[in-house]
Amino acid sequence: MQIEAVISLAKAPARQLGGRFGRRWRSLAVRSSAGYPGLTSTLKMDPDIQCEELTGSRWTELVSSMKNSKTIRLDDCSLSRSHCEDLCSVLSTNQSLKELKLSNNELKDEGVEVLCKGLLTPSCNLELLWLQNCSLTGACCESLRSVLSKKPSLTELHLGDNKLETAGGKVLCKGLLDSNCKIRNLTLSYCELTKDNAELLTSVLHAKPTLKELNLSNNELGDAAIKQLCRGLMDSNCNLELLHLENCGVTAESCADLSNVLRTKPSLIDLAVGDNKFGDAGLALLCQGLLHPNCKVQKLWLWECDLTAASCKDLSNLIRTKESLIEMSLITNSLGDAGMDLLCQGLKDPKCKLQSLWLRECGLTSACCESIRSVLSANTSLKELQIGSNKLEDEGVKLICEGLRQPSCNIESIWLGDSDATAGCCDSIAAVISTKQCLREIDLSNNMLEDAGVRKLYEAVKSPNCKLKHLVLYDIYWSSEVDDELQALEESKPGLKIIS
Amino acid sequence: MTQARTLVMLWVLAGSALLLVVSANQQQYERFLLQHVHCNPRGRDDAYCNRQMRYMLREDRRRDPNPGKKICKEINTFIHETKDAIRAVCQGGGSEYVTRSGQVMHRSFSSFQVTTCRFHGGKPLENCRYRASRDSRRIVIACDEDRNPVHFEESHI
Repeated sequence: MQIEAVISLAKAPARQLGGRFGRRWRSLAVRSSAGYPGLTSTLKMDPDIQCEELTGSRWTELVSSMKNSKTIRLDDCSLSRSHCEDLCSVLSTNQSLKELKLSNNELKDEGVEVLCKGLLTPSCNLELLWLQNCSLTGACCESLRSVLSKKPSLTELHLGDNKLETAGGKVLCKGLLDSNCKIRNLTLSYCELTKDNAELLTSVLHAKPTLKELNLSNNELGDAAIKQLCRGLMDSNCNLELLHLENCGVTAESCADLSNVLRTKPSLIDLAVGDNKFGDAGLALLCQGLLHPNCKVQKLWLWECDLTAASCKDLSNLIRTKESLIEMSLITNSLGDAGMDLLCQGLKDPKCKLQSLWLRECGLTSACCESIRSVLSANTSLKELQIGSNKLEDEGVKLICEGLRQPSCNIESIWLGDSDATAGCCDSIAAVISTKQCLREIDLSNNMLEDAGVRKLYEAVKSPNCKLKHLVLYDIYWSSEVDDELQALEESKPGLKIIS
Repeated sequence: MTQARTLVMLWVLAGSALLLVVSANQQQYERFLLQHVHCNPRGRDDAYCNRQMRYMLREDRRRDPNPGKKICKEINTFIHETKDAIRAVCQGGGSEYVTRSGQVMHRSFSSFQVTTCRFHGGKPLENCRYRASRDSRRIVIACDEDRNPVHFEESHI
């Protein structure tokens, strides 16, 4: 009876319970009084839990359910060393366990050492291990080295955001170099590695043809180390597919070496060198490799590389000629309107197969939006366009909307946050929302749309043609009446999520 | 006997209803506190932003029964002051501020220590990373009927 009473309160008029936050609170009230088990079911065979504190009976229940799991993901669940003891038993007894993801838990070195005991049991055949941001240091690398040298099944290892440092990196490499090790995917981003790790990492590249993905982003490596790594990448044994070297101190100097790799290795399809200040000079060198017919690059991340309009001719050529290219980021490069106009020429070419393009904070204004409109009217490959944090203003947004409305345009995701847009362009945006059935995601955060603008949007969202999944509206101030209306809208469209 | 029990139930319901109404109004204010108030920051650098934004997103998702896909907030400012000091802006500690679009907000008389976290990288991925910028400035906030802050105007510097 108590439960029914609370549920009937939960159905009370929206006004009384104040907006989207009231809705959330109501749901919690229903759930807790009815003894609802929690955000995710504990009875699943393959637990996939994020951001939940797992203690006491909940943990015990979970551990027993993991006996036969194939994959386990417990991300940011306040796990610690004590939980590792239980996980160790799971590893020792569960022969079918293939993937274990424990990122964002303060397991610390002791915790990982306990886990490694489990990993080393003969029956354990774990393939994937993620320990990103687990408060680890170089001290646990010896145990991990041991696992790598004995377990050929372990092919994916993610140790990013742990202070392994030079010494830890070296110990880890010794494990990677073991003949038993068949590593395929390795992530060591933000591990405080240094140029002194380059030698052994290069040896790994020479020795491990199984290695396909290497992420060393955010380690202070420097040009000399990058050059050394490139020698390893050029080895005939090496057929790396993914290389991430973001914020690794790459300058124009080592761009020539990377260019050689690009022109020689068609296997390299995912290159991320963002946050390296090599500038237009560096990009010109990279493009020599990128434009080579041998290069089959698919994903290219060049954000915050100090590029300007001067790079846009080469980039436009790349977009127009490289049919393999499907994803490109140029975020926070001062391309400007002139640069954008050049890029648009490439984007209009029928050979352009780009699907995702990120141009946030590129110094664009409404002046280049006519070119963008023109691209959207002609280009059918683009699915995702992120162009927020540019001073597009209402004029620019309206032009973009005109392009989006073309039936040939297949955009599914459009990001126009922080564009200096106001209620004035909401009619145009509404027209897109209510007609574009392929549109799934739209971001309009940080624009002063106010009540009038937001109301136009949700009228459009109500349309049966609208199949939107995410309406992102961070940091827009609206009244509590509008808040209630948005809440009602979200409730009436089960597939829709309004994020603010 | 049944009548007495019914009366007790009604009182409990009334009490719950009151709680629900009060708590719901509190929710918007509490959300503001979660998103924008952090009294004792450690570092105020990029690492601080990563930690605090992660914590904020995590807490927000925890309170939502159906969180869905994780989408990182691109810009967010933390104010390093007590919640009372910030509420004071709604209660006389600030001048009326009308935005370009005609919305009425409050601009503080005094400066506040703030850290603005800006998403940097590529596509918003699982682990959102931020760049921090520290500042000391007047803040612009919107207040509700109870004179509690419910919105932080990010674009006003």
